[in-house]
Amino acid sequence: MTALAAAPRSPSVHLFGGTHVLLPNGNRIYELDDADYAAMAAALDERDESAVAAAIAACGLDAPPFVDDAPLVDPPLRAVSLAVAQQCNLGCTYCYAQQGEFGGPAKNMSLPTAIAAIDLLFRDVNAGERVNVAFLGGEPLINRSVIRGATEHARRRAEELRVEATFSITSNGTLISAGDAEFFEEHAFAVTISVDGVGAAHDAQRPFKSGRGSFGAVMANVEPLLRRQRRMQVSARVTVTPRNVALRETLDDFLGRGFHSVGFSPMLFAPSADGEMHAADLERMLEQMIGCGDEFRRRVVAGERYAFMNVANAMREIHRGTHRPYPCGAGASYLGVSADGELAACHRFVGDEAGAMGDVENGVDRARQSRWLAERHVTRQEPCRSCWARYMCSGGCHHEAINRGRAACDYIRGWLHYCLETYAALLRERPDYFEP
Amino acid sequence: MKIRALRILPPLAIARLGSSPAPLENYDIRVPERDPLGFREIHGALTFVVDRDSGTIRRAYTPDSVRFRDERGRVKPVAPFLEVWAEAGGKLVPLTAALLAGDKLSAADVEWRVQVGNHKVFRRTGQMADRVDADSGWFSGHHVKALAGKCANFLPRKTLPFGDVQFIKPTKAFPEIRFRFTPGKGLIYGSNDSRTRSEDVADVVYDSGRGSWSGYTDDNADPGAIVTNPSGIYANLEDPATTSRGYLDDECDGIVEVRIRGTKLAAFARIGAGPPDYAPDSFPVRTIADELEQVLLGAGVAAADVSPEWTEEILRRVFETVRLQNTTVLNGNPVLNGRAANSMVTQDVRRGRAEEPIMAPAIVDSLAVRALHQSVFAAMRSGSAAWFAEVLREFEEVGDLTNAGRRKMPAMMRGSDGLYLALTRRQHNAVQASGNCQVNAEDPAAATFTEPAPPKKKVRP
Amino acid sequence: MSTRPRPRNRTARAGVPLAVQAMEGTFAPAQIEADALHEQLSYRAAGNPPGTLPATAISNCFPGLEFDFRNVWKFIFKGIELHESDNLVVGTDPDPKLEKLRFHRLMKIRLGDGVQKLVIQIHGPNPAGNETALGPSALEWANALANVVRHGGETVTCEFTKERAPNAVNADAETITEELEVRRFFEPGTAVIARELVGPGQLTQSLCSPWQNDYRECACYYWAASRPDYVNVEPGADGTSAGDNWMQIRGSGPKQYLPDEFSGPGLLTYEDMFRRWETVLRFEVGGSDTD
Repeated sequence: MTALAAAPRSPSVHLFGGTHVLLPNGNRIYELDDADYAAMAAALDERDESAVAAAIAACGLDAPPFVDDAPLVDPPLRAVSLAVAQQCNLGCTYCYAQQGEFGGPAKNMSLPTAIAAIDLLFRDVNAGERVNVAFLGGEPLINRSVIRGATEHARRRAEELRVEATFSITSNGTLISAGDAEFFEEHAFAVTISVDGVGAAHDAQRPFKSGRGSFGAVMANVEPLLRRQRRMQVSARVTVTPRNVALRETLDDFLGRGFHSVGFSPMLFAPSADGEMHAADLERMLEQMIGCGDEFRRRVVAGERYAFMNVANAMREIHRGTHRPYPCGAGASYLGVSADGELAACHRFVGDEAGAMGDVENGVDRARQSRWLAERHVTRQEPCRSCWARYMCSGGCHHEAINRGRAACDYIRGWLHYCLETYAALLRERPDYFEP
Repeated sequence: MKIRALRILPPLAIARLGSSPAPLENYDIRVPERDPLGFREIHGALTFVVDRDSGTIRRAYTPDSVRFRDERGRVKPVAPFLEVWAEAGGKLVPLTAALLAGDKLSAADVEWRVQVGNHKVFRRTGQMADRVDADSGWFSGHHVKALAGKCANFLPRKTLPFGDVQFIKPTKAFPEIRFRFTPGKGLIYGSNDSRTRSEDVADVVYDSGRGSWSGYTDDNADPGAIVTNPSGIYANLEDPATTSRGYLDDECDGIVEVRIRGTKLAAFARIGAGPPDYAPDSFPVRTIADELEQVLLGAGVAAADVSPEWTEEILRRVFETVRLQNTTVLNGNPVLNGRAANSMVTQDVRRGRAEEPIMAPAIVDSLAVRALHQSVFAAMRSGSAAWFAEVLREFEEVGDLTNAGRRKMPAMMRGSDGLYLALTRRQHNAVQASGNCQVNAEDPAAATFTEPAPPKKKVRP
Repeated sequence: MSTRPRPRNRTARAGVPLAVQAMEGTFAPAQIEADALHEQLSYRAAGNPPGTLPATAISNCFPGLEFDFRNVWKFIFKGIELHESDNLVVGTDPDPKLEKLRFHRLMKIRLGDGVQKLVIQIHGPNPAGNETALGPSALEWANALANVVRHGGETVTCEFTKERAPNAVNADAETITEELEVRRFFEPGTAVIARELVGPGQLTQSLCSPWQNDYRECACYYWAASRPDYVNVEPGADGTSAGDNWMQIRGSGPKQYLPDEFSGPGLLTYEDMFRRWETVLRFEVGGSDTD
């Protein structure tokens, strides 16, 4: 089954679809004829790395390493997330921001701190380049005025420097007003609403602090935004826990409501171990994800849009041949900023010493950054080094890996294997999807 | 498996003239691994020895070394094989006697026809009667078939030999259906008048009483004459009137067809015969393969087809041409009594441009120019040659005779329009898109595979 | 090895170009996909030295060596015959609509939203040093028609000069339009040039006659990889190079390259070319005379 097909048998190749090979070195994909495929499969069955290497060379596919183990050095900062509010009005059982309090007293970011963070972002950017400012929390809309002020400031700096600035916000949707809709539309925000399933399932996970369900309130606020989207895009991000694994229903319902796209993410680490996904849960989730992926494929072949973000992103990245030794820009081109102006590797590390990176006054602590980048490089991770997916998954979320270890490798490989097969199928069935 | 169609591969084969009865051995040409800009190496490769009497391949061997001329100093001709391939089950495989037998056919059912011509005289005079054409007619035996060029304006019973062809007889050891074209000997043929000197020609074939070839002159002033560009390329430059001597040669080009009797299966390929390649380890910047690839695959280059090896090959071929040129002379340095010798520079003067060297005269010695290309190559290998695409001449810039324009690459060379050479658009786009000529900065803050991130701009789902 | 791995995504680069693999002997498939036309185009038959490959035949033709490949474009538009190296219509089918185009010039082609112009202006400093327009010139066909040729079987809008234009005219000349069908370049589903595009004799007809003339008359400013120029090169006393002109009679003294002005003492003559070309022209391997 998928688990077997996706299992890591050689760090140098991965076969899929009965016809294709992925070479992790560069994440290159080739279609092979029967003889070459059979030769590779035989070498894999034997677990014979030298036979695998010979099969690769015989096909003329060997290549020097695309990525070495040298860590990134002094990467330029291009994105920041501002934790503008560290108090949250929902009492989400799993929220990493510990009930919006990051384990400490609730805090809002002041406008001067936000402006200092934005100035740091613009300090080393060149004309024609692009930067992103994200607002997170807790629930960021608690601190609306800082969001407005910071956005205006960033727009002005962007115009001065002839730089493109984009904005995003992740919100639980309970506090969104008509004025927010207008503001987000004017500044072309990418709005992500954290919702966790439809109706009751959502309410089971994200109650208001008072314990009342929040789904109805959320959708009532979000519906006007969904109708208004032109420059802004409103997407749904669903955190999957053992209690809401009915993904297809959720996906179809949300797409039906008008969300620009919907993505799923398994809950792998929450400070109160509540709702974390374990192996059996992840298996069920994978089945569900595959079901959603199959619908995506059917729709694409029919020429229709089906905005299941996980697989759409995967198609794009696989086709690009994206191959990175880091899973994201955390600690490199992307940093999180706490309400106090402390810099962190990303929003999940706000208030966490393990990811501390300096502060807005003094800038990025390059020594800590170098250490971070060296330690987090995928070639230093176990069990990543021998896994075929290492330049796609790249070790997975740093926060999850550091705090819980890598419990989802089989899920991730299973999902990527499925995406690779879908890629091969779509290349055949709708090649114009990739190169219009 | 049923044969659904036929192809002849290669679809275009080039023969090269030579008078030796022994055709040139086969060899491979390899870029030396340790010295990627060193001369390519010639290594003997599997060579077929054909018994021309029986038409069979008598033996196959790999020579230790390759000699381009025989022991009597005669140039060995390049006599290409053509192979028939059959389409069965969506794939092409070589056609063999066994495959034919599967469809109740045999080699005896395979027929061939060759039509080649030398229309060089016709191109100048415009007279149909000046076309020299050979047509073998359909044949199926394995004997050598001479290609005798006939022309209405030839003397009675005279033909011009274009070489010969042979349907190779399949054997157990070599069961494939093959054909061989052996070109002419590189001889010259003349006309029956006093312009022809008997020592120059192998035979007198053209009748100056009927045709106007001997004494013909391109009339550059009359557009109706539709002269070639360059013109007057049939004559003796010592003769100021550039009149034709009335000479013909045994080059030709045309079509080889194959068909299988009793079926609708047929295919054809093209052949031509040209002069020897006198620098067999060096290759031109722009070749007929580049032209055909641009038509077949387009001027735009798909990402999956670009590779650093391709860009390197383009630069290597520029280097291989430059290495065999006297760049000091071709730069237009004043080497002839204070003036430039025949070069693009003198051509530019004829167009009205000021006479001056292309690059600074002091830097164009051949060894210096080689060193320059070697550093460009090294920069490419290290991925730091992002500027290389910028110094290439675009195809619409060929008429830019300013200093900056003339100094673009390839430098000092002439293109098909008589102006400065540009690469094919496909070659140019490949250089621009190649990984070793552009810094491929991936967006580190972009989405990952497993965790959805807020999209930054419109992304197709 | 059977059919080669086919690159699918953007980092799966094709690697060494097929033309080079064919020369190196590493592209020798036992079978080829019926639709793998690039492979068919690049195929090198068993026993064939690299000189048989189009990759060894020069294509910047003025007029060319193995072929004058410019001739491939003469009949690219159904109904008219173009000059192989000029934008002049030199002949047409016997169709009154088209006969009027004889000796007009094809100036532009409209394809979808795009326009491909076929004439540029040569420009550069004149002897007084001032930037000047030096006259119009037609672009060579292969690059100018690179996009048009992909529309074989379709009709495109061609703009011709309004008047007969036996001499070259500037790009802004007044034009009339005519819809013409583009011929298919290859026989459908194959990599062989279409029968109706080029007939026997057409690819070589505008070459030198005899070809030996060319070697005597062509100063070598582009064909050095096929018809060498500077050979037996060594560093000279002052660090600059010293070598022979390929067309000069080899001597035994210190090397002195003789610039080729078509004739002169020490250079090969027409007679040498007609009577003894096989003996006097040397093959160059590693940049030096061999054999």
